[in-house]
Amino acid sequence: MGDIQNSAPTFGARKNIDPSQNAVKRLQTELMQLMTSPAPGVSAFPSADGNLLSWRATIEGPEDTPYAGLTFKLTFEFPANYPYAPPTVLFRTPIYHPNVDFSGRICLDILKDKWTAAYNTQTVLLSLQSLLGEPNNASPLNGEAAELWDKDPTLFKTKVMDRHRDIDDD
Amino acid sequence: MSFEMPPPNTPEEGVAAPTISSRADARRIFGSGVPSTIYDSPASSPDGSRLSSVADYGPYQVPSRGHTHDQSEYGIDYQALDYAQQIDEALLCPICHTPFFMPMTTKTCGHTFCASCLDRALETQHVCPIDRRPLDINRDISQTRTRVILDQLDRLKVKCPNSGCDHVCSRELLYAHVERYCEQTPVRCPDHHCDEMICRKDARLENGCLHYVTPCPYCEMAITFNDLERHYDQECTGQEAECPHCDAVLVRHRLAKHIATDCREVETHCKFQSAGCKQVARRKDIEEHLKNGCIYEAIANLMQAREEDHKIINELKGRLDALDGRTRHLERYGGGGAGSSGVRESSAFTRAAPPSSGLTADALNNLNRMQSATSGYADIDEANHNITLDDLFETFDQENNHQNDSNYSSPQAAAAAMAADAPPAPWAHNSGDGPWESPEDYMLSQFEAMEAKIEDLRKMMVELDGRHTMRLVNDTMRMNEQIAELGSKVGVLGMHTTWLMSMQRQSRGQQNSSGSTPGTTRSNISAGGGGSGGGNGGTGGNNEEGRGRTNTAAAGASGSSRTATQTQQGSRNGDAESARGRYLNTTDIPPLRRSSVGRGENPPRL
Repeated sequence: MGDIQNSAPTFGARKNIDPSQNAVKRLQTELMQLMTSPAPGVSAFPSADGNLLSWRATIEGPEDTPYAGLTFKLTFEFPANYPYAPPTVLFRTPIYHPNVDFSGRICLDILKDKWTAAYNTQTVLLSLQSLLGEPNNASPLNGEAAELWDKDPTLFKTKVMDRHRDIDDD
Repeated sequence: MSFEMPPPNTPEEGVAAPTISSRADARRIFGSGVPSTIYDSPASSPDGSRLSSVADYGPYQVPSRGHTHDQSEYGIDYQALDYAQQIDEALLCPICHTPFFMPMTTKTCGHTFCASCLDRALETQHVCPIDRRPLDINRDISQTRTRVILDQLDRLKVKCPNSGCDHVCSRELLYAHVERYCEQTPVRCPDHHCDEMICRKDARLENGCLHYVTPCPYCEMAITFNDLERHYDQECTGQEAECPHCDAVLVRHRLAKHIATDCREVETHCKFQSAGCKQVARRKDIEEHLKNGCIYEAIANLMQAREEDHKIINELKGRLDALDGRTRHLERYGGGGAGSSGVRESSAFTRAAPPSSGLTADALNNLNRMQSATSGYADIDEANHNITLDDLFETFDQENNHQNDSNYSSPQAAAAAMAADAPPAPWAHNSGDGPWESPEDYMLSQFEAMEAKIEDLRKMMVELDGRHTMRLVNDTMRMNEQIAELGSKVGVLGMHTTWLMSMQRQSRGQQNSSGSTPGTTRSNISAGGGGSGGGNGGTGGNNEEGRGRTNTAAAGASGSSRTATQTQQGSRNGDAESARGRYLNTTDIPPLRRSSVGRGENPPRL
């Protein structure tokens, strides 16, 4: 969308020309909210290159789950029509989880068809955090993990620890 | 991403846009009289069908999507505004996280969103973005009409979106500001051969078209003249100047401003200089100094408070002066209700109260005297009329004298009066050059004052009248009660008489029972009893006491008698009930029993 909007001359009163402008504006308010009232265990910040449409985030593994004490890094890529379309979220830290594949892609309904414009970065992070403790084993991306989750928690825990390794920020 | 966005400009918008633009046209045609607030606009588009929730909001300039060039002339993106205040989270749209603009509420689940946000969210999924309930854009959403919310939104303080304008106003006034007043609003170039836009402050006919290309004086870059300012700030690299105080390098054009407010090396005063701080240092040291706590900071608060107090005092002074002027004016021309005579300085103004209250007190006393002297209400009324006029003239004279005596009792008042160059006496006492322009004026003012007093008296009389009525009502009530009591006693007496007579009759009947006595004798007696009873009970308004008490034999014999038609038992019950019901003195009623009456035993207890 956009040639119509772009036909208008760029003047101060018209900040709505760039379609991603609304997304940026919204992400700015989200960032402000994350800074002023952070949720425990999750954090997010725009990536260093100054592009507000690309964020880095971290999630701490919840207590009483195999992921306790681990930290996971993620990337958020926001589309220009955010929040009307969901961000693309990837695990950058390797993770052994029934709903995450080996390249870090996540199977979570709210990031796909159940996305609504009322979600934001913080709610997505909190959903992912709870996904760590309560995987949806009915539709696994990692079938082995889904099986082990119920059958052999000890082995599952070992696999989690084997797979996990801290990565450096770029 | 696993799902596809629909094409961005859906038919919905395409159709909705003409509706909006036609409204914008209408607004242009009818001028700016159309209210800037949306809330008086009809809920649906003129043709009755609602295609997009945005279409509900006519008079607002609808931002961004599908707009025409004309419409965007002053188009404000309300969702990109900077607000000058903290905003309650409840007023934030869950989609754009900015305060609601043209809020719409779902009918099914009651969630509220900006119209444009909801529209865009519904393009992809026809569900509520909060709880995913199915939503039909034509049926299930409506303009938010809760005034509490709308008023709060209207009142939000917002910064003007035009760069270079610092204006802050409530949101409902923003459109008017941008459209009519903001100097930074882009308008058409005054040269009608030019299609470009230019800030209102530069759009002067005498300036002509400023869209000519000129080289920047510092960097030689070719640029249109009206864009130079922005160019200095953002791009210009040529002929930079070094700040003499710090290492900063900037465009020569901006140097003065830099030294005045920004340069950290330049010497400056502590910001509490007004409070007495003598510190002079480089700006960065001053910052340090402030961080460590300028000892004058504590005083500065006091000073600020003092300044505010001063402000208040000055304001009050101004108001006092204004009031003073008004008082003088009033005294000079006309005198109004209270100014009955002469000129009074404002300091003497309060003295108007005692005489006039004296007058009312006098009048009241007189009226009271009259009231106690006369017994009839009508008399009082008449007397009131008589006294008011006499009294009025009398008190007027008194008051005038009093005024003249006391007017110069205080030296200040005298001085003030002299300063005002106004002689104290009314025109009548100081014929010629009084404050009154003519005798007619004086008479007129006197007349007005009298009218005011008459009005006062009238009010008093009304009050007195009310009090009288109350007293009358109270008195008559007591009398009524007494009459009723007397009536009851009379009734009781009548009852006793009747009872005694019936006793007598009975005993006589027993005596004559052996002989063949004609029934007429009995009926005569009973009729007499009835008559006397009726006469006695007349005041009480009760006939039942008077009804003769006859035995059944007598009833059969005296067909013509009114009382005889009633049986003995019925009449007795009626007596007792009516007596108890009507009169409070139930103890006075003799305990009547059927058997005792019938047999003539047990005389009543009196």
